[in-house]
Amino acid sequence: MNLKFNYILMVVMLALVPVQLSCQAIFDTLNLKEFEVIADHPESGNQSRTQSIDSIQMREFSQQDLGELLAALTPLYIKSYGRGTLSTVSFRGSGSTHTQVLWEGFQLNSPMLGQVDFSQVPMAFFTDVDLLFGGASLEKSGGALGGSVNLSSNFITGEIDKTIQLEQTVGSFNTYLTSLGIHLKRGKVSSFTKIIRQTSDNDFVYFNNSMLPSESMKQQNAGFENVGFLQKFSIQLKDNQQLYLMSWNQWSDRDLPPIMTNVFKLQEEYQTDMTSRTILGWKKSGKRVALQVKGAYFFENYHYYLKTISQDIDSKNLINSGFVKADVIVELGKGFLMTTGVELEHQSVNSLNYSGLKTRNRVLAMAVVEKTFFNRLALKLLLREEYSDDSFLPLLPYFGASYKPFEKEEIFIRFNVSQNYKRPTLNELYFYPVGNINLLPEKAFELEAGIDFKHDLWAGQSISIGITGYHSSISDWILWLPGDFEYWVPANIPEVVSQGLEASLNWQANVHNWKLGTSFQYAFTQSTDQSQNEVQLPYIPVHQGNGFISLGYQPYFVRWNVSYTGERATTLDTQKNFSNLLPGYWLNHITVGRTFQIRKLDLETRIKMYNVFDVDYQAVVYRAMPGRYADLTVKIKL
Amino acid sequence: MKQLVAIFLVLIMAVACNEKKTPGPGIVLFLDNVFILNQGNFTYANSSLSTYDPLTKTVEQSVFYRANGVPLGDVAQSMTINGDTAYVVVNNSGFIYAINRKTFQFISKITGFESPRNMLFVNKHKAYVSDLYGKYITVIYPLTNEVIKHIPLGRSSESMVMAEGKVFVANWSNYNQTAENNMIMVIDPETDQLIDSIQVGKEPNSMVVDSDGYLWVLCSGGYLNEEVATLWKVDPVSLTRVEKFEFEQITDNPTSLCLDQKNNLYFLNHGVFRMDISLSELPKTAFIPEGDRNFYALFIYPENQIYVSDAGNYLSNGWVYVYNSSGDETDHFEVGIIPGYFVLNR
Repeated sequence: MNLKFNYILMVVMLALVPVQLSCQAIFDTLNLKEFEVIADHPESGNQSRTQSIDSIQMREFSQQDLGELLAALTPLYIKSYGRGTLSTVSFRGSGSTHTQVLWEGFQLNSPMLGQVDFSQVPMAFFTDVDLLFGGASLEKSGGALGGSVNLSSNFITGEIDKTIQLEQTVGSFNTYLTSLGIHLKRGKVSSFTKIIRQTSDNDFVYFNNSMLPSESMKQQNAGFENVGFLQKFSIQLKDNQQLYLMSWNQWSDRDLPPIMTNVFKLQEEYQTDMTSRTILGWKKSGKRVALQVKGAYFFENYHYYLKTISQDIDSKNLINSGFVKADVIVELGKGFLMTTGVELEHQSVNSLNYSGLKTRNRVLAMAVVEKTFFNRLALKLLLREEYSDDSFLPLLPYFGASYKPFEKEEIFIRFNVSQNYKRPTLNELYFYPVGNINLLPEKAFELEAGIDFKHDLWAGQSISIGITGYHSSISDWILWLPGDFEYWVPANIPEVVSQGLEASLNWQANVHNWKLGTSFQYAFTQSTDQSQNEVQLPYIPVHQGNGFISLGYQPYFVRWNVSYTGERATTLDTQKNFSNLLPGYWLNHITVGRTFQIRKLDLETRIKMYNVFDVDYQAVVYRAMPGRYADLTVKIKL
Repeated sequence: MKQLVAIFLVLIMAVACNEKKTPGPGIVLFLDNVFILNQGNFTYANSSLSTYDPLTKTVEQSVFYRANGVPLGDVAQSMTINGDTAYVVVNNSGFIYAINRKTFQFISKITGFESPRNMLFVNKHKAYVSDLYGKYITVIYPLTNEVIKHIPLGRSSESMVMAEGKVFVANWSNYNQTAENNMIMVIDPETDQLIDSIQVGKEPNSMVVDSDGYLWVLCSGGYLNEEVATLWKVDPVSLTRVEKFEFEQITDNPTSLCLDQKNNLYFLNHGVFRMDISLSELPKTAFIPEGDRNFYALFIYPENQIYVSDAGNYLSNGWVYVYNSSGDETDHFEVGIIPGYFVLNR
């Protein structure tokens, strides 16, 4: 690869963008590990907190949704309205719209709501889940004031010509989850197909103590059906060049259950969604330069229905989005990397809740410079700019440092500071009749510091510990507040301060034939509305943690997941009482399984018991949750 | 006739903000508790019931929860007293709780509604329930809590009053209807038939009947201020308009029409306004200014005390302010979230 050419290309790309812009480059599918260019990082010392889900964990959740996975394995707070129902995620005491979800670098957040329903993201379609906390998210996108969840579908790997994998789950409440994966390879062309079908009546029995007379009742109107497929084609044009096309399509039809106090109301709500997301990409990596260009088209069709005796409302929302992005990584010298990128985005929304078609165009640009000094100190400077809604947002800068104080000890001290902005969502601006076009963008100033420690212990054991403290101040935070009558109205609230501590512990041991993997996460979060006597924001628990322990003794395995969600307020009310304070709860899920090898067939069976101790809890106030239930999964790989 | 008048008076009293003026012979006024119904936030099921004793000035909070151990429900909209039973219409929960008005203990639950709003006893054995989504009035037999029938209106319904033996029903919301929401529907409670209607202004939100028997209707002009707010005086016999008062500003959004015993009308319009019914124009200045409060509901206690609730930011507990008939504050106290309805516990 001609280096000169790449420099020229990079300069041209930068020149495409006004000088005061810096670019939004998206590394995403450009997985650094695949590159020949690898910066001399101080051996995995990162300037920011990140978390990746490991392969055992991915396998454990292969039939579940992203919300369930994050709730079990990460310090993020998952606000789940019930099994198969809306599930939103918040990082570090921020809001659900401050959590961005990127698939192969493209934002999945709805331009209307600004959030992602994590119950509609089946894990079957992804191979990697990486979390970028706080300012670290700027590397992939702007506006993720809390952080970002990055999903990839790197299904095509290895030299194998053909694999077929079928996974079937049968569970309580008439639940059937099926996924079929087919990988074919002919010469330079690979194809990967994944098809899923998930159905459940979801009619669990619970004790409704939110109404008189209190009684055991079946959850009503909560069934769901999800059908979808992901198709990926990839052509290895040359050794270092790849062209790929992938398309993720999904149809979902689900009933929306009423809250426990409203089960007698004569109405039914349900939702049918169709989403189609297609990406065409090309990437190339050379000795010192890696380049990629990709485009995406997302089509989303959401129908919300409300059926009563007198009415039959069909609220239609149609979203079309087109994206084009390009980025270049150049190794300028030893341990000296530069990344630049641009992205164009067009979204249009046709909603019955808006008057007329609403569109949003964005031009994004970013540049990152990373340099490592003496193999001990790594600095990263990032600048990002966004032009949208006919104006520039202020520059979004990030500066991070990672330092390894002892040459022989795997201890890393990290620090970063950043500023981030987020535009109001289209609902916040235009939703009839409460949208407010005068809402200001939310602005975050974030600081983070942490320490990571890794150590190999005796007898095949290793331990890693990470502790992170952060402080972020978000001004003009947009919150939907109750107004007169039944409308909730979006408004800027002056300032929210989130601060907290996160701790993680991982311990691996391979002793004789035993394989032990443990991962513990804990988060202490204070997120307070400064204008409301510093009251903790609703649905942000102060204490939260989870543990995942997997123990394998060929061919058997056991996995135990325990999570604790602390007490949460449900409103911004300063006075806490029975109606606005939800008690904390512990949940335990246990999986037991074994693998078989029958000739060329890899077989795995596992039984998972959810909520083992049959805890009666509410994650969201007056939303019924199931007690103990179970499912059986059989996986066949050919 | 006397009996009819007495029943009429009791019924009028049962509807908040619909205070009957002069007590008839033989009816002795005495001080009772005031129920304050707090709506709570839509879909949060954090409604609550507070009580206030004007004699001792004591407030009790969350009396329903304390007596029964369960939340009151999602958006407690209105409350009606009949004998020793208090009926709480819990709008978004879609039911009506019947509770003992003294102990607040649960008696029964009435279900079968889409979005119930108000309940009016048309006689001892029959009550009407208005509905925000349903285009009909639901008729209840309170002894068994059964839904007897529906009276089709073709429109949604909100507040109801009785006058001259007829039930007047306001079509407040235009939600899911193509027709203009500017009608008062007239029902014959004997036959449960829709017999007539009167056109008023947009969004009629509250009604009272004065001592001369005239029906007064307050119309806000629409949520988005589609037209100027109006106050109407209607003859309930001929069903014709007697007078119409127009508010000055298109942004005026008056609500909570009430009547005291001296033939003064009261309403909220960013402040409590008072108007003698004999006057020919609307009051220009507030009798009780709102200040930095968020006045939400109004109630006139039988001896002309004025109760006004402050919903604050709709998130935290609201407040109630009590004034004497001269407009001097005599008490104020904290209640639950969005105090939206008052009724005399008698």
